[in-house]
Amino acid sequence: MSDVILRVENLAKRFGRVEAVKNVSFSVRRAAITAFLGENGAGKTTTIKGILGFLKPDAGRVEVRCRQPGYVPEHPAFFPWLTGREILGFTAKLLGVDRNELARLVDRISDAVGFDPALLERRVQTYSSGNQKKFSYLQSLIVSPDLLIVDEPFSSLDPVSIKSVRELFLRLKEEGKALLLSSHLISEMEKIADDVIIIKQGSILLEESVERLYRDGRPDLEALFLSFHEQRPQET
Amino acid sequence: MSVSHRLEVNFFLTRKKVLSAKSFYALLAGLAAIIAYVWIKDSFSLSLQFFFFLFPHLFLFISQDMMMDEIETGVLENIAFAHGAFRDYLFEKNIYLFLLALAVVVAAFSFFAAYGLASGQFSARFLIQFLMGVTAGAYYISIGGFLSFNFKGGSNVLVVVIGQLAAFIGLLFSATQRLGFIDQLTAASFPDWSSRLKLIVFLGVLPNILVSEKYFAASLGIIGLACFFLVLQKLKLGALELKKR
Repeated sequence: MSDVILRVENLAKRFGRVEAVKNVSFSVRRAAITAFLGENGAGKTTTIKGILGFLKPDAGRVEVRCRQPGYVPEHPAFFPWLTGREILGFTAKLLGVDRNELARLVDRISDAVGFDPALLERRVQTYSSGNQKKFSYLQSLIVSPDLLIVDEPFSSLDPVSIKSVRELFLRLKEEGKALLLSSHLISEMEKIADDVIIIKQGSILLEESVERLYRDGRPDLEALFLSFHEQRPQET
Repeated sequence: MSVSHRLEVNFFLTRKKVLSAKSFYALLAGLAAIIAYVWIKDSFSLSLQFFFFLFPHLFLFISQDMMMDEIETGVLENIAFAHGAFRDYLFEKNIYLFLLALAVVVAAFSFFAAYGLASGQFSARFLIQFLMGVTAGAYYISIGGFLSFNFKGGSNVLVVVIGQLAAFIGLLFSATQRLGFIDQLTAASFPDWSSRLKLIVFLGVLPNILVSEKYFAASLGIIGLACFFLVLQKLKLGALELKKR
């Protein structure tokens, strides 16, 4: 089985006159955490939405080599008329999660992300933004995805929850899952990332393993990112 | 993802949304009050005719916020709707909303039918009138769904209602210039293509007139218009992207 679980080739997306993503190509490995870094408006979310089919790319190809990727958006939104349990129920039914298995998964994942299962009886719209984010992790992980894509994994979370989520990522990696984490929080990413992709103005500036970066004597991830901040993007 | 599970879940989501809206119950209460009032003040027969004429609007009102509301709030940017599944969900809402409204009007019609049969006032013609009303209702959902791509907050329904009022007032104030068409409407006789085309436009604005026995044959025109708006919806959905937040 190939090591690559996600391959993006020459992805391009334009909104009117703005070229949001320009011939973006990269791949994501199994059993690895890939940090997808970029400034605001660099094209991270557009790329992710293109991968997941929420946007139609103008050009390029996306190959996802797993059954069902998980996805946690930066600001998750849920049907306001549904409780947490109802949302998990329909997700499980749609994506083929066994009913008995669901209860076990909900307990395990709630514990891992610090989510109070008692909230499941309430409408998700009434949750705090932090609990909505944790619930989004819960919804994504009940399908046991081989690839988890997260847009701003730590936004809305308190420091205790950030630590829990970071540990969860490492555990998922140990289980052989692939994680693509799009973030601004470079210091957090540095603690866990195996691979790094830097995107600026819709173009990929760097795709490299963290180990190799350090072996080559590059500065830390934050300094590297800031050094790219001043550079002009190049087509890859 | 199995198709039966998808249909079951999509129906569940639509049903929960409709049943959680207080305006739905207010509308039902309003319709019931009008029909009950006519029955008490006049007769079973007249209240049944009111029911036939008014119930297609239930289908229209149930189509409020059918598309844009969920597209813009970001609730479809969810793993359950990835890889284009959000397009299926939105298009299938036409079916689920139709079935929900149908369930309500079938229950109401059953009550009328039971009373009519018991009192010897039921006629087979009523069944055809009911089916014509359901046809008009199906059209309302297709146009309501199409309009809800551009009109938010229930204004898709408002656009249709305002269109109906404008058509009614326009016809009233220009009655002397349009005597020919009004005569044709009254007689339900449309001898040439021009008058038939005008009828189709009129039906497009007020499809409820199908429940009048004279217009049963025009149901094909309404079915055609419903299909037209469904095709437009499909085209809109085919190009739809979830980019607004």
